[in-house]
Amino acid sequence: MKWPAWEDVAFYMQEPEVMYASIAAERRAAPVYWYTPPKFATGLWVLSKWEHQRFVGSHPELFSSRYGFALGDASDPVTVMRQLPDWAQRALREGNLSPAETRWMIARGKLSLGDPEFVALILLDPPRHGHVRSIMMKALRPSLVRSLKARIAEITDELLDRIEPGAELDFVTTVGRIPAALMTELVGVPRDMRDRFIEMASAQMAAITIDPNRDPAEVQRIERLTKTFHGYCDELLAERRASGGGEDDLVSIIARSEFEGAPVPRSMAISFIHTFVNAGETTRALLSFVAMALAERPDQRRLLVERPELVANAIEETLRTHPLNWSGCRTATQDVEIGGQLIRKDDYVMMAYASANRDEDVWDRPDEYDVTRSFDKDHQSFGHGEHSCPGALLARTDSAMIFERLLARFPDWELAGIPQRWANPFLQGLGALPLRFRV
Amino acid sequence: MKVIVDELRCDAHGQCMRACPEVFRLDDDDDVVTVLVKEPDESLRESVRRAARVCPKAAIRIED
Repeated sequence: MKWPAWEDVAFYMQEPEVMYASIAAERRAAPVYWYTPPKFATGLWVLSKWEHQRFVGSHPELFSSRYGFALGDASDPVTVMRQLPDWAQRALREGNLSPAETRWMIARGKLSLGDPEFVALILLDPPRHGHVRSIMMKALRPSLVRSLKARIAEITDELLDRIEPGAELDFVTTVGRIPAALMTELVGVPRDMRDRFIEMASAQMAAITIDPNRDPAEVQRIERLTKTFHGYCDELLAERRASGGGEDDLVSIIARSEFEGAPVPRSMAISFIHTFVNAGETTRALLSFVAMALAERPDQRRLLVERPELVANAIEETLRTHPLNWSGCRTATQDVEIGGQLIRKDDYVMMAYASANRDEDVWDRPDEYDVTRSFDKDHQSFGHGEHSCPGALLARTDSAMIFERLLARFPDWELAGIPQRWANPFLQGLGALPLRFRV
Repeated sequence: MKVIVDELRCDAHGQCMRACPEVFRLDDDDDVVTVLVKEPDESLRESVRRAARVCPKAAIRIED
């Protein structure tokens, strides 16, 4: 059995059973494993067990987010150089950076939004992380999210009204669009700009993934769209600052918030908008996997039609079996032992979420999709601890609402073609999901 | 035993309330969990520990 090539797109494009068998083989034989991917600057520790990943997530003081959060951040700088801004390229070329500082430069460079001083939320440690995050969380307050239920139902019904029973449709670009539409409202984008905004947003997903094999023309296209997108964010913010920002949308909240006694800096504001926008896209991926899993398993779908109270659980089971992030990384701040291995200060540590979610010490029949499964222990798909997904409640709320209504209207659906998976070693999603719905 | 919640971290997921409703309370319009009993009885130790363990933000600490 070949062990996972975690950095390699081809690894994730295999048949899922083959891929998960390989992941399980590594988890059983070497749950804490030092792996050096080809073309990488240094190796990294692969943590495959749920328990070990929970430990890392609960201890941000031992495992810092500063020196990279994605596997690709440990790439050999030469291979990713052209995707980074000039100042980061210069720092990397001078070549006197330690491996951890090299990752920091790559991660910071790709998320800099054109501002060399800016540090994205995902690269911050406590206490600063909590202060920055709390500004954004005002627009994701649980009370606010819960109050959206009626609006989510309304958007969903409008869309379901247009579905023709028996006709083939692409789920990803129809029902899958609901979270992105909802996000434009939460961000505060005026109605006439929403479609354009979603289009810019979809291209954004690529920008956060460092990919050594990316075509230069594609790099340029992403850069162009990013510029347009940022220009639009500036306009929106300026307009909301001028009007006093009295609403509950993200841009209004940013417009009236302060950070360290001054207005929220531009890059921070744009990064919050990015986060919301990306969340629309990851939720689209989640919905697509739920629809696919239920198309492939009519027995499970029928169970949900009979017992709609299980829909929320089906969302969790889909998250467990189809994590949107394949993995997440941290850097050890001091020597620490995990599973009998000594992890040295500055070592890069990768939490393989796809593995923890099928850890046999936590889950019975881990490879089986079972909507009645109990979730006493949470899966790792939203991460755990300081950096756990800020939009988890929103994603859970809108996906449960959408599938409750979908199942009530169209209790039966089937695949009308082959689902198309994203080719991405960091994120999992579907590019197309042809389905046929029946009443 | 003392229960401490890091309010900056709490995202009001409500998992702690399901694990230990005697100590944690979260209503639909709350944005931060309320600790009903700051120094709960020893008999609740196991369920308070479970609440700390299930918190997605690792925002709950127990001090002796």
